[in-house]
Amino acid sequence: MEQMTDTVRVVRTGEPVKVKPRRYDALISFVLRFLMLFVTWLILSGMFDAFHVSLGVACSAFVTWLSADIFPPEVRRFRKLRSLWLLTLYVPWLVWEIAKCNIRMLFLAFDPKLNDKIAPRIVTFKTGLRNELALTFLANSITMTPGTITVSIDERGYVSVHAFDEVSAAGLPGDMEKKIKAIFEEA
Amino acid sequence: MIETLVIFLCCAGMLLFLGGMIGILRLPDAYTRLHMAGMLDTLGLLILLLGLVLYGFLHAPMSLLVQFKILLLWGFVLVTSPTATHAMVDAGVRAGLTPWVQPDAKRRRK
Repeated sequence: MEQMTDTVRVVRTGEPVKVKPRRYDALISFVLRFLMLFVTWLILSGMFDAFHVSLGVACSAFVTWLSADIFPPEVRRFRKLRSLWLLTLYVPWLVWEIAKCNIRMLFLAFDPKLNDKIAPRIVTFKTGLRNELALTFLANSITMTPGTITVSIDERGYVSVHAFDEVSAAGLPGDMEKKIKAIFEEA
Repeated sequence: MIETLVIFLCCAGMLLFLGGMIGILRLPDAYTRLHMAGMLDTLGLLILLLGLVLYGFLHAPMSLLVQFKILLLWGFVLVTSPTATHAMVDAGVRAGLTPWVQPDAKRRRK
C-alpha cells in the first residue's frame, strides 16, 4: 500500500467564495453555544443556589468568548427551519441504522466461521459534498456505523473507507450521503 | 414489568459487550478489530445506559439529574469514539500497516 502524505494539493479554479456572516449570525452562534455550555454546567453541578449558578454563567461566558476563534459563526446553514427539522430526523435514523449493523456484527462475532465470512477491503468513492461541516458529519456517521471506518476524507470529496465485509461495503455511500445533502441543501 | 425491562436491557447490553470482546479476540488484524470495538461503544453502551436510567427512575425517582448525567455520558462517547477510531486507523495507514485480506483474494491479485 502506498504511503499517505500529509499535504493534499488542491487545485482551485478561481478564488474560493468567502461567505461573510450576517450581522446576527455571530450573535446567534454565541447565544446557542453559551446555552449549550450552561445547560451542561447545570446538569453536571446539580446545585441551583445563586452562587453556583452565577459561577456557571461566568464560566460559560468565558469559554464562549475563548472559543470564538475556534468556532467561527456559521448559523446561516441552520437558519432555515427545514434544515433543523431534517437534522432532528437524521439522528434517530442514524441510531436505527447503527442498531441494525450492530446486530449483524453480533451474529458475526459468534459465528464459528468468522474469518471465512469477512472480506476486509478499502473502498474509495467521491461525494458531492463540499461543505466542511457536511463532510465531518459524513465521516463521523460512517465511522459510527459498525462495519465501516473512514480512513481519509478531503475537501474535494474523496473518501476512503475500510469496510468489514461485502454487505457493509455495498451500503456505501447510500442514503447517508443523500440525507446529509438534504440537511445542508447541497443538491 | 419495568423491572423485567431493566433486566432485559442490561443483559442485552452486556451480551453486545461480550460479543464485541470475543470478536476482538478472534479477528485477524488491527483494522478489523476496531470494527468490533466500535460495536461496544455505540449500541452496547446505549442499551446498558438506558437500562440504568430506567432503574434509576424506578428506585430513586427524585434523582433526575443522575439520569441526565448518564445520558450525557453516551453523548460524549458518541463524539469521542469515532474520533479515536479514525485516529487509530489513520496512524496505522500512515505507518504502512497493510490491511488483512482473505488469502484467496490475495492470490488472485498476484
